[in-house]
Amino acid sequence: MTPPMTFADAMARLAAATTRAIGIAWVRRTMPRLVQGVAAFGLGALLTLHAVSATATSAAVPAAASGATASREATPAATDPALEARVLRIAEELRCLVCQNETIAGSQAALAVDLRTQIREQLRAGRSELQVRDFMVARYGDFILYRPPWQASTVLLWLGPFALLAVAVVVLRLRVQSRMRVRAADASTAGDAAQGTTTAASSPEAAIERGWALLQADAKHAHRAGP
Amino acid sequence: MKRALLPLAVFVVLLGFLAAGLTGKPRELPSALLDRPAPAFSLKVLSADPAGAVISREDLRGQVWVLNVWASWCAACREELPALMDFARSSRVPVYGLNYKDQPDAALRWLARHGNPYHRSLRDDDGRVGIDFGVYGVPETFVIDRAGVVRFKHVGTLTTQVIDTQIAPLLRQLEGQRS
Repeated sequence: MTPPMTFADAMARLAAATTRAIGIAWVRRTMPRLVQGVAAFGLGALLTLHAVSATATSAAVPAAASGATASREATPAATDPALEARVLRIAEELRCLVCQNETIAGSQAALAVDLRTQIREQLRAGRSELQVRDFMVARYGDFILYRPPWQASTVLLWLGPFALLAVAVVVLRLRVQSRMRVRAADASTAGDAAQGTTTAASSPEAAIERGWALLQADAKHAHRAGP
Repeated sequence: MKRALLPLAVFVVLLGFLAAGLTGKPRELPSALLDRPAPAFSLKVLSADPAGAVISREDLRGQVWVLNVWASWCAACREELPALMDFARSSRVPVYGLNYKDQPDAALRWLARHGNPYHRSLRDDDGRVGIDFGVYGVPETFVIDRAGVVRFKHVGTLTTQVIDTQIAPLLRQLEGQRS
């Protein structure tokens, strides 16, 4: 008896089989070997560069800024949970300028701590959440907003995905339609050929071909007229 | 053949986008303050004298001036100091320092040890004025014109190249507007 296959084994096998069946076969069929090599190398190089530049930029600058004011801790933990919830709600929508992939709510950079304090104080002084957000944008620009505003320069950003989807749907539709036309035409010519025995070729291959086409046309007809 | 080229074309376009993404500099943000009035402030001058003078935005109106954000804890500030010293020595435009979130005695010691390029340094102890200026990474350098409008911002270490190619020409132009 073979030992039972673990789940991980099964998934690995499935993944391997799928890539072999779809990915690799498709690539082999459609791209010459040299192009495959260049493409793979280019993609690999790009991914590496992206990774390197990402780690480099995140490591380079903030060290000084965050180490700086460790001695001066943030304001004492707020006592008002409702206020703190509002502070967090605003801070979660704002990007930390120092660690650019973190929110101001999540970052421990000195600047993020200061900005949280600012938000807290302004809310306490009775300013609205919108006013606080405007305060931040006036100083740091739209970049600080994780949700970019709807304006002329961001139209492509907001509508791009939908535009791409629309293009994909149109292309798909056109392809399906043209394929259906081709099939219909094939079926009808095959049917004609089968009926007119005068044009029939004598070779067995041609006969099989015709029979097959006739069968398909028939099946389609039956399917369409079916119950 | 045509079918084979389509994925390749898509791939090349994607490659182009990714390559363009690599050349961007995410650290250098456009300043929201550019061509806007400099924020109001009123700050103590950094000095050993506890009852130091106070300088406000209005005191500096009517002249072109440079604001350099620095701190004694900032390693890059040490790096840019020689270039800044050269510039301060040769330029007619005063360089003010914004001593950002620093301890006054540590700041004074730093200036005494490494050199002081500043006409005056203003104490931004809690970093509030820094926030008003949109500071997010010390050092930063601003040029403010006679009307009190921010005309230039540089984030990060100043180099002689930045000074010669960007700041000096701008200052000449701003100074020339007097006549």
